[in-house]
Amino acid sequence: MSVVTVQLGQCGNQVGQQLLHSLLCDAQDGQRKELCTASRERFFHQDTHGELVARAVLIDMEPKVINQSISRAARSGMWRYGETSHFSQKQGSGNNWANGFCVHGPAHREVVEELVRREVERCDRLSGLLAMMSVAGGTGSGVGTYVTQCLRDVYPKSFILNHLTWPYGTGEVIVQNYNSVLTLAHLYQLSDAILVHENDTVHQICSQLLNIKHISFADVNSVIAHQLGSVLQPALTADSQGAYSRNPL
Amino acid sequence: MTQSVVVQVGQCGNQVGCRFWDLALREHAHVNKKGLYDEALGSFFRNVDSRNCDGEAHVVGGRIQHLKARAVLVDMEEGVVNEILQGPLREMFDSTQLLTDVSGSGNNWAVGHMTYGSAYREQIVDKLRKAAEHCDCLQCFFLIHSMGGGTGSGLGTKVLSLLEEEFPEVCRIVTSIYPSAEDDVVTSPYNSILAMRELTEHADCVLPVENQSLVDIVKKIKHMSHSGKPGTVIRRESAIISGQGGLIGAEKPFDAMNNIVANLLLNITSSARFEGSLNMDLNEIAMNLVPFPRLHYLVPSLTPLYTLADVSVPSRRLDQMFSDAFSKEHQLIRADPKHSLYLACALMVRGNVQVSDLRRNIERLKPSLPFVSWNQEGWKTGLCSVPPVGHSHSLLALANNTCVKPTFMELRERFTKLYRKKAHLHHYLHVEGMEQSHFSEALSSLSSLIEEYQQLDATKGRLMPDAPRLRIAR
Repeated sequence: MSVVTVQLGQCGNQVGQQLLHSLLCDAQDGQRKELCTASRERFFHQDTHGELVARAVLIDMEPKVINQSISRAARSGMWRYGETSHFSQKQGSGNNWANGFCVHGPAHREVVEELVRREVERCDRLSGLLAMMSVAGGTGSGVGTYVTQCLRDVYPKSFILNHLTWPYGTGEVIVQNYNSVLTLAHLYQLSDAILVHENDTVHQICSQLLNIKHISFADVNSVIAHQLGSVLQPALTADSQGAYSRNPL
Repeated sequence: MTQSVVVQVGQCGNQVGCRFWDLALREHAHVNKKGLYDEALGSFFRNVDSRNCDGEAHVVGGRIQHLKARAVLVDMEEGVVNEILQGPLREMFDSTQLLTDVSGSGNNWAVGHMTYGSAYREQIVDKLRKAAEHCDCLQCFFLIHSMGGGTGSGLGTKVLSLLEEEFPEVCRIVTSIYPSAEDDVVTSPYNSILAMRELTEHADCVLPVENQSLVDIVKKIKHMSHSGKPGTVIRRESAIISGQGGLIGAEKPFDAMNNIVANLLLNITSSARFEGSLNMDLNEIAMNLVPFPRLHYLVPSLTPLYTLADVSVPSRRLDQMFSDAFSKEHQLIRADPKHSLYLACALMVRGNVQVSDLRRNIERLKPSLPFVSWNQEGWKTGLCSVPPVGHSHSLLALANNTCVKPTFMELRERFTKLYRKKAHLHHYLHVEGMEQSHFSEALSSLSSLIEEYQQLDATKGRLMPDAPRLRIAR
């Protein structure tokens, strides 16, 4: 039961990279072999050299963050992203939802659909698609909404889970309110489920529960990844008869 | 990665531009250890093979052969540009990027805008087009000029309107040096007001800088470095006014002040060039900080001004840096934002600063800063991991604040004093294409701008009623 992750925008790519990394680290931790195999199978596939390649598509309108995510993954030595599983443009969306939804989304529709199709075809059994993005920016929110719409059209029977990162209340982006409302208005009808992580709350977790003095986005992202892992990792239920075959989505 | 083209017009514009290129090279040399032509370098420079006669630009990833600046230099007298061409930066510009004439504009906006504007229109557009064609993905034009003179002010604003005509989708960020009250040019109020109208109509964003503030900052740093108190020795290349480590050795009189403006431009583009955990691109600046198209004057303020050399002295705390950014001494125009209304504010942080530090400081400073009622959380933040040369972290604050209103009112005052007596007017009216209506239109444009700021100010402290169409159904 595989999950294909679609990472959109700076936030989506940064959180997504951290998520895949945490999922794999969990699976290495000398747990039961079936759990490890099931978990790895869910989010990665093995290429011809035996390396783990993530079932993920990275999308952003400017190249810096994608390059960073790909190199961070490669540096871990445990896994990497597919060489051709990313798509970027030169100039970002400028925090403009309309730019993402009406301009960049339609312009690159075929390429993105092709990338996702390739990942989906590699799966034996597809549980569904996990789209990761933020709602404050331009690409994550605008392009993310458009891509969700396309995916809904192409895969009407699959589950689509949208993971949204909610910005800090005191503002990261001044037009974040516009971008968030426009995104949610569309996602309500397109998505099967929306999982929200608020930057403010996660920040509090880091400061009060984890007692981290200087919280960086890396800390915030690892908390988010940890929580997501608890939902997405393979689990046994009463009627699964000892096999990890339930669809997490 | 996108590219930006710098257009420097007039004596002031070219002198500031010269400092900018020097400091840009210094910054990239500091960061780029391997000598490879990377994308960050590509945003301001082209890599050409000088042996190849048509100067084909090289792709990213190769070794640096020969860097050419993405710039267009315009001046109506040859002195400044010749000086640049004889200095160590001459290799960076080739003749297709320069436009000079001999006689200058005589501190006359009309001569710059009308006479030279129409005479050189084709050539200017041609050179701009060439510069744009060398870019893969051109994102922004940076125009540097002064408001008080003739060329920078007149021809500079003509170039601005040409940029809008020829490249409408490319962002135009203008750095304008406003004259101080004791300016040496008598007609500077005329030139400034005539130019202001063009800026209001054709620029996407304006960063006003006042000479007097630059002078004050320079004085403060010099005072600090000469005070001789123990623990106050400043690291030489860290002062925001220093050009140490750059190519040009001897410091010329206005260099210290111009370095500050050059640093401003470097910091604005830092997040677009270098990586960071929260990137802020150039198109996001206009998007976030300009709520209404005409109100695009952003007050810049830079900290820290210097780093102390003595490592045993504990480094100035991060919080101090944030407080400084909102103090009057670090601003580049003389204004009082704390007693005026903030429409929006952007904090661009460079270096080793984490998001928690940013949040903590925003929480701390917010109560003392009056924000407009419909945008109480009006902050835009950016984190870039690469600090500037000589510092471990730095902060650039750009505020769209109604405190520019007094500055504009003062400018209008000085203008009306001269205009009432029609002093020096004939020099302008003798120029072909210039009419008295230009003056009155420019004055009314400025007055309506002031009026718009005034209306926003009047809402300070009060909750604004919603516009009828926005009434939310209950």
